[in-house]
Amino acid sequence: MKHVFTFDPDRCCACSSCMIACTDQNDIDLKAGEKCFRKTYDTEVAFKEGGIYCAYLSTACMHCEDAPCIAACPVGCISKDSDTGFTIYDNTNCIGCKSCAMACPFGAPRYNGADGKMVKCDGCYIRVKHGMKPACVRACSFGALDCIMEEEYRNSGSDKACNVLIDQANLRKKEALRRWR
Amino acid sequence: MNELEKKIKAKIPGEDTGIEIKRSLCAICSPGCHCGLDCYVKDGKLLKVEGTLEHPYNRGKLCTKGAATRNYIYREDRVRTPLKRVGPRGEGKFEPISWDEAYRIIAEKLGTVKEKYSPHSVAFFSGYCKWYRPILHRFCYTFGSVNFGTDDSTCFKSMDIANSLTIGAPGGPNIPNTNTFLGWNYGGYYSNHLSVGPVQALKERGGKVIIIDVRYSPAAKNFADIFLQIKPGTDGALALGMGKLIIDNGWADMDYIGKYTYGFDKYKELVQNYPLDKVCEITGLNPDDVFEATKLYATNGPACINFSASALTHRINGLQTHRAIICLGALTGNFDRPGGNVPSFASYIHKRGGFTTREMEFREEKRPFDQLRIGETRFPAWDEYCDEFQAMDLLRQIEEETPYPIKAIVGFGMNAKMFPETDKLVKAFDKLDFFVDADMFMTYTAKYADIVLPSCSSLERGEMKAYEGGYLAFTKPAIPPLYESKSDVDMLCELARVMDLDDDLIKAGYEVCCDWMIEGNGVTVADLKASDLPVKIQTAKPVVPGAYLEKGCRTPSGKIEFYSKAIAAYDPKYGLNPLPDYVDPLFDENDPETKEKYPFHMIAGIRIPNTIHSRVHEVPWLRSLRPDPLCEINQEDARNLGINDGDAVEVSSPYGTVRLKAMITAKLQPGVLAMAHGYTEANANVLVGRDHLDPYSGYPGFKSLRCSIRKY
Amino acid sequence: MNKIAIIGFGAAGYCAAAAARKCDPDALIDVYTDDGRGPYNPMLATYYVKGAIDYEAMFPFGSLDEIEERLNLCIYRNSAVTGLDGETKTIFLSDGTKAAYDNILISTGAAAFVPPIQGGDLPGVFKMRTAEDGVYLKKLLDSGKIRSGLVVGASWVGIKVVEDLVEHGIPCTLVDGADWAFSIAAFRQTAQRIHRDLEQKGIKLAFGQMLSHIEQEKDGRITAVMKNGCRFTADAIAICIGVRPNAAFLKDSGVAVNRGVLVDERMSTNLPGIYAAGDCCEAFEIQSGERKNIGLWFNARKQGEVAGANMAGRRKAFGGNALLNLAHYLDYDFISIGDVASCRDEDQVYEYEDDRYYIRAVRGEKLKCLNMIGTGESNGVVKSLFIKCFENNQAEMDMTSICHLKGSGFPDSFIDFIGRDQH
Ligand SMILES: Cc1cc2nc3c(=O)[nH]c(=O)nc-3n(C[C@H](O)[C@H](O)[C@H](O)COP(=O)(O)OP(=O)(O)OC[C@H]3O[C@@H](n4cnc5c(N)ncnc54)[C@H](O)[C@@H]3O)c2cc1C
Ligand code: SF4
Ligand code: SF4
Ligand code: SF4
Ligand code: SF4
Repeated sequence: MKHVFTFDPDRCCACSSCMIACTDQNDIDLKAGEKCFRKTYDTEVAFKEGGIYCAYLSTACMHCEDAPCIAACPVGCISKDSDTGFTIYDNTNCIGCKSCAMACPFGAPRYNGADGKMVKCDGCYIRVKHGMKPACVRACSFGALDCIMEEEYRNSGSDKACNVLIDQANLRKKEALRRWR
Repeated sequence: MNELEKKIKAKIPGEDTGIEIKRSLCAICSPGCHCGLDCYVKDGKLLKVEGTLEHPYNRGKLCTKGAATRNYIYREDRVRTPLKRVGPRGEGKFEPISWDEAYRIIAEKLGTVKEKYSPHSVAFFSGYCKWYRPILHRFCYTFGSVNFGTDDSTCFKSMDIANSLTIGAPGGPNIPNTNTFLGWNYGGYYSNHLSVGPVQALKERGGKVIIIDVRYSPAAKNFADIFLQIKPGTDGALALGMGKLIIDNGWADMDYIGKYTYGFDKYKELVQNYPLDKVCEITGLNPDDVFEATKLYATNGPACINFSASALTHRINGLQTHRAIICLGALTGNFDRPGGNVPSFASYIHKRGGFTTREMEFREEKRPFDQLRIGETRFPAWDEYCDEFQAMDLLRQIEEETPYPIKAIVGFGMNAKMFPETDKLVKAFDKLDFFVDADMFMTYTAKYADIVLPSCSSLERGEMKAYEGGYLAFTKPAIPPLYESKSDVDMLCELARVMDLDDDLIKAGYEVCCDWMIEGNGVTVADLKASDLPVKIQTAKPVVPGAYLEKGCRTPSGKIEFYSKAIAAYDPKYGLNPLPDYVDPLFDENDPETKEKYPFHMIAGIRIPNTIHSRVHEVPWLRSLRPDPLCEINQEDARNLGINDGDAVEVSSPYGTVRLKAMITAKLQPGVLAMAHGYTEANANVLVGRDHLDPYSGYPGFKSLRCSIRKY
Repeated sequence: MNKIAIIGFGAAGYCAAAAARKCDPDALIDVYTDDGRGPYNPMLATYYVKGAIDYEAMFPFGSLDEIEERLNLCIYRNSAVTGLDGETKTIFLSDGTKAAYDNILISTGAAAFVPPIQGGDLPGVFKMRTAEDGVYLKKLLDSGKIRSGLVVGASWVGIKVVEDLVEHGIPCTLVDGADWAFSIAAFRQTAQRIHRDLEQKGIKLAFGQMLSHIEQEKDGRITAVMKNGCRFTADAIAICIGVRPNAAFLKDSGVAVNRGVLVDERMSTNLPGIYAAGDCCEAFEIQSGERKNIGLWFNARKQGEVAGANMAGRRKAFGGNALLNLAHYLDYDFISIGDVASCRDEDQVYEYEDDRYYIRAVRGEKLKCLNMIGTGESNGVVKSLFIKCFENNQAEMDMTSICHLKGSGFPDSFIDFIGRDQH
């Protein structure tokens, strides 16, 4: 039951419900300087040739197929959950070296202020194993963020999987980004 | 970590983890919403929330605010016990007292004011979250005061009045059956999350969407086939111009107009004053875009229009703007037909369940008529259509004490920051003999009260609630009330007993009152409480489009009124226009001196995802999403003024000044500023003049006022 | 049956064994290690010293017994390979044993380089590479006898030893022969900030100091004497002036060796069936297109994986190899991406500084080198953009990265600078 996160940038509005849900689910202590595993963006990107694209995005760990963070960690904190295929971690031995962040193309790993240890989105894999959606997905009212079984994803013919999103964003030609002004 | 520890950490409900899901509802925002909540509870503590999938209203969905419920209810500034003020008003120094003591003091103080002045000198005022209003309303009348007021004075009522004047009913867009959705000031995402799904579905089935907004919003980006970025407050002119185009191009439904409308000829004459070029000059729009949008709306029917609750009517030309927009539905025959705008009526506290309760009777039964309400005779349309005082006159009456003094306020969730010139209002509190406020939090306003009562949240109480689709619910507490807090209605019923009010119903308690109100619907509170989910009411009937028009509109003419007979009947001294003509949204601030000094058009009170009025600014999770109050400014304006993103800026109007940070954006047009309201440290409403009001409804022009901005 | 030998059992060796086993359940895999314990991670030694991890944690893949069982290997413990015949793919051990294989991986890593100087073996003089080095330093520091420390070599290793000393409250001095710290990766301007910040933490610095020899003082302390005559006296002296690939045993093997063993994208050496991976090899680097010895844990693992799969008959390639140096010490992070030495006076320079970040970037036609301080959480985003501009000229900078950088407080001008050839 491998799962894939999908994201549809044309359904997102950066409302950040997903972030709040992640904060709620993972007891993220903002006061102590901890950061939510998910991050949303309401960003205006200007094109050189003129025009602006108003991006609404929500990102967390993309649970990369061949996750470079796993090999980067010198103490072996990061691994794949065999059921869900999510990139999970056990930071008992984490030395806070940020090698994982250097390997991650998406800036997914976070570091706790208190002990400097790495934390990140684990795909809510325990929830998923119990038949529930990840907390952030459950909180998205607009169907922008989803988490579905791999077969379902493959059959859907969609190009919205998070772990390929970065390439998709490249492939989708500039014209396809609806510009404003 | 072993498997069980992992499950507990992941908050998986089950016997082994001891985590239970309890059902409740989120009451952070307006009672027009209130989504069903799954509360993950362990040992009486809330661990997390999710939307209830099986709930007929929200089907599992929550907005950003609701998702933060846990952080909201465990806020550190929760009022924990009844409090008595010991310092000066506003300072926030209180000492805890017992509930008995609090009730004793309240009874005594209110009794004194009643005796010394009159019962009307006690004003009862309700802010959010409105759920207890029938009880408070009746309490007020039983006490003998005519003065029951609420935040409806600045909320959605102006739109409601415009609806009543024009069509005699509210009329929401019927998106599931429409072909074209005219999203007039439709934001959706940040203000009404449940409205987005139907628009997405419309787009997926090939329907068209027009968005008219002052900001390039997510809805404009994700949905708009045509986007009209309009100059703030000029929507009325656009609507009249569209009306002219519809008539001139033969897109009007003349049969419908003949059968169901009143005053078409006068309207037709009016719109002759709004040719396309003039409209585009006023609105700043491109004529081709206006033409295409009008054509799409008028010819690709059925078409429906978003009836914006506040964005349009929070302007001093707002009521007539909304009337002008409604007229488009009448012109094209889109009102009261499938896929158009379909009327429906509230069953209980603004919710349209398709069944009737005795809420209004319950509220009105004990109404006294021996005095004018605060503000009465100032705003004739308000007076006619609203059974409460227009709070925009409260400050004046406290200050001037005419026609009679206001000496005490009984507030429930009262929010002074809702009032223009907030600073003057809180100063005027000094003239009060007594002010009691019930609230969950030690708010800016509560700090001015003599007694503060701790209210509990919706998760800590039982509450009756109607839902669309014929549902009624009575929730059970998901967790016990925190500290010594109580449900607002319990406070009122207990206080009624202490004061020995002449009202057996209230004294009998909330559930008895509810049973009284829902009598005749075949259910009792006990039945409702037996279910974890809203219960389908057998008496509920679905809305049948067309039925309303056939029966005749609830307007003086029985028809849709282009020309309002009700307005025509008002004393000419008010200078009101029965036709929905356009006036400038800044008509009271357009003298050359003010214009020069305050060149920007401020929209105070835009919607951002992490706030709702002043209710959640102090919820840390939500605050973290936008830590500072921001004033949005167009990038060119910012460049000209040397303002960089994040710079500290000072925004001023003739009435006041706020300091906040600049947020530079391309989504706003030059000349326009926008900010969210409700911040204590940057309260938008100190910028608003107390008389900057819509002459029909008394609504303040929050979303169109003159300002200046500079770096400081 | 495929007979595979793996020489040297660090990250590269282990990952090769694991990949080979995954691809070929039946292969015979022999492992030769000069050690008796599981593969350890050299970079963890200093973390062990400061108490961040237990001793066991230095061995992230487990003990040799566990691994042997898990991957079904035959491990020859304490069996250094002393020679190799590339023609016949035969390996030799010091006791005269020899064995021939179908595929051989050279994954012997690198060793800390200590020049043969006078006093290099005095008590209190140490290096930092192996688990034992860590154990030695920890004992030394825990003994309480060290009241001052000197680190020779302001390198990635040296700075970690400085961190250990500082965390033990021991005053220390850092000296280097170059004119500034991290001289092979840092711009002078970056280094100036690094120096300032180190000095603020109480660390004494001296540059242009070439080590000559070490002398014992009468009071038992030791003094590092520089070629210019300067003397630095301390209770302990760390020598961290570089590493050398362990390739000496390949002298007459026929395997092409520069500094390290030369390999192609598939980690194959010049001889068929002989592969190399990890710190001992030189693989193609994307910026110069030349082969370079880039000693990184990630590279060792990935190169091992690729070599292992190829030895088991798959076709895998190792790509995206850039010059990369990340120093994380004393709550500070400094990263260098690309080749600082390739920068020329006429190149365009970008510089930015605020309370969080310091950035200096240089580009000619393409990006050449980036230095960043304080950008830890975003390093991967920038690194992958850097790599992408060499791998795919046509690629636009993607929305996700732009949003990430803007949202993390990087100025638009920086995004412009690094994205310039991508539009
Ligand atoms: C202090 C320090 C800090 C570091 N910091 C970082 C960092 O922050 N980030 C990063 O990515 N990398 C860092 N590195 C580098 C990283 O540790 C290495 O790149 C990586 O461990 C190399 O793995 P390897 O398998 O190639 O070599 P090694 O781990 O060196 O393994 C080679 C093994 O082969 C054995 N061997 C050698 N010769 C023979 C022989 N002839 N026969 C049998 N066995 C032999 C060796 O004894 C050794 O056990 C650091 C290294 C050090 C020393
Ligand atoms: S909840 Fe959905 S729409 Fe909102 S920010 Fe997250 S992904 Fe976007
Ligand atoms: S997104 Fe980053 S952290 Fe997540 S799997 Fe990929 S590399 Fe690892
Ligand atoms: S920061 Fe922690 S998890 Fe990340 S690579 Fe370093 S040790 Fe591993
Ligand atoms: S999957 Fe879970 S951990 Fe990951 S971002 Fe969503 S809520 Fe957070």
